[in-house]
Amino acid sequence: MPDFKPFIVSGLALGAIYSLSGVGIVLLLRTSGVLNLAHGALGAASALTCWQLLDDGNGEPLAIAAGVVVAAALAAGYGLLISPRLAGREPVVQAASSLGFALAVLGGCLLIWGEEPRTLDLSTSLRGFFLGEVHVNTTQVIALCLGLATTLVASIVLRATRVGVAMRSLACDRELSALLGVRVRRTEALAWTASGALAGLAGILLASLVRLEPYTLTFLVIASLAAAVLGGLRSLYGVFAGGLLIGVLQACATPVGAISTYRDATPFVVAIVAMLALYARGQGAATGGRQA
Amino acid sequence: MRSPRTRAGGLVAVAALALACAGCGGGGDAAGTGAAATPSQTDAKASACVPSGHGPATGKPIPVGAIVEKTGGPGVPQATAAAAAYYDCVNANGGIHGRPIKFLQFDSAYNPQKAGQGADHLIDDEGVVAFAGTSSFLDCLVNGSTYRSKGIYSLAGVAGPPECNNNTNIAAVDNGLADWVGAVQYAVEAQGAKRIALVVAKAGTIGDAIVAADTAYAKAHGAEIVKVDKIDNGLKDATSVVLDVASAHPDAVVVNTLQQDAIAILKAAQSQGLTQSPKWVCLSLCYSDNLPKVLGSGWKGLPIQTPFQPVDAQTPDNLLYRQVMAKYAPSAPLDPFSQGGFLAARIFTQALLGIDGPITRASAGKALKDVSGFRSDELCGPWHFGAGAITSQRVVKMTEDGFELASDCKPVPGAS
Repeated sequence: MPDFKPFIVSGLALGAIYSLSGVGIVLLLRTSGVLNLAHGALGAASALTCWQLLDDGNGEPLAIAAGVVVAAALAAGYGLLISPRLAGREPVVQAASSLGFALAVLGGCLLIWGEEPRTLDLSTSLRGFFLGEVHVNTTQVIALCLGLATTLVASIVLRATRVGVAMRSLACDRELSALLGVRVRRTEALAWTASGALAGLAGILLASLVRLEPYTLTFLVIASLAAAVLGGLRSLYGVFAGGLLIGVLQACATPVGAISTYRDATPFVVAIVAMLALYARGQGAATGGRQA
Repeated sequence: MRSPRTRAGGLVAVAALALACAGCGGGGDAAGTGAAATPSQTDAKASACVPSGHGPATGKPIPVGAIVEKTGGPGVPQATAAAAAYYDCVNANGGIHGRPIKFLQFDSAYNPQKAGQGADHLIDDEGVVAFAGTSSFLDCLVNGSTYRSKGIYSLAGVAGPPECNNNTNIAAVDNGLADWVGAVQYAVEAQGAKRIALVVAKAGTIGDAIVAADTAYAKAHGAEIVKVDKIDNGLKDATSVVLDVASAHPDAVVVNTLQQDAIAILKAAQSQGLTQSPKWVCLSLCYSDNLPKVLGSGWKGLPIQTPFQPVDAQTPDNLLYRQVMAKYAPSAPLDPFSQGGFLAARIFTQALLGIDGPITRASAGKALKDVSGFRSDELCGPWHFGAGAITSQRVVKMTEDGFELASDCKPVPGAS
């Protein structure tokens, strides 16, 4: 029986990455009704911008801020120019459009920076402490805290502030919200910009913790979607916990010989199980309703 | 691929090198020198891509094919890009007796069906006389029987799976078996390892073949493979892999993955404070000219197995390689894959130049099949078409800003 303790610690660090991205995705879904599949690509653009500025000799705060601004600006541009034109279409069409946006951003990153191997070493990654046998660096702690803080703050903002209510109403019914006086364009732009900024920040942390490679960062969104599914695509706390669960399961599969080779499939397996469970619960509720 | 800034730097380098670039202006000996020069020979002069030194070739093009994975999965298109660069240099300097090489690349997208269609298209529709500069990991498994049945020969820039060694129509300028075992050999002989852990890319059946070969070598030489971690391309949980490997308490860890994954693993090992114990060895897959910048000084001294010269070696043939790459493929990385693709094109060009009479599929195939005793300072010994051409390996060590030879041309047991 392997000793799973180091892998649980390692998995929490990996899960924090999935959580942070998943929360960003669900946040936008709840505020605009769009499942943004470009979340990871925005993070890649942010991380590469950050790397470029650091490589050019600029300070870390400026580089991080520039990365976040680039991601926020790209998201705001999409949210202002393209997303409103698809507002009346089915959610799947809007999601597919965001996938096109993801590929465009990815293509732009490859055009500008290519695929040359590079690493993003934040100063926080050089400091840390040992938890049991595992060295945990400060960036991993920041990722975990940021995921939790984002979940808490976003939940409060969505429930208790005027702008949060406006965002939720917009996601629920765009036309009705407009009739009730919600400033649709402004609220939508705010949601996209905030989501883009979160994607940018997450991208920089991911690049430092996982790898600075446009493809990996772009398609890490798939694992984050599994976390989002675990949260029922609604509950931010559920997404946060789901991301951590996936990370821990994936890491704990590493020392288990029989399944170690297939551990990369963990997010998909978890997402499928979660969807089946949600479906079964829905069926049960429907049956119960009929019986009642 | 390199950044725009690196490309700009490359252009400056090209401008400076153009003054002395025999490879792009003609003159000199087409064959390699044969003597394995050392990187310290900084005053070495590059040889030429072809001996003629005439102007651009304008005759009837000679179609030559290659299967490459530019998209769709793990691929090393830089090997084919390097072959294309060499052919461009040849064409700019008189070609094959005045005829340019028309290099036709087909992207298999890591799809076996497409790889097969690509070979059929290039053979039947484009009429290629041979394949030289292929970098597809699928090619020999998918197209081996096609090449045999259609009487066409292929010289790949990268090593294929061991099954390919049985195909008399296919050869490579590298030998996977020698690469894999060479790294374990270094761990055993130079690092004194008795307990060895492997981190291996799955890559279809190749991962299993690597583990089998390394296990057999270790067993025969008093060592033991205590842990095997097979990973997918695009590794995300490098820390878990490192912890898993460390849990077996190995003396040495051999990293046999593509570069991005190897970097993630080495960075995770550094983060866990494991750079010195266990010891680490990386295969040629993991390195390119910018590795010192990417990994930083924490990994100074990292040993890397390679069949060729260090990518920054100042030997005549490696200088030519660097000059041709800088001029014709400035965005491709300088690494053992592009060295291999470059060599494949060079060997094939030499074979074509030696043909008396018309260049046809039959004559090109015969010329390629008959290549023996090809020498280059990139290689450890004379190369011939067929299995067992590469049986020795070098090990380079990473320095602050480049690489130096740690072990020169050591025969690898069982690699022939």
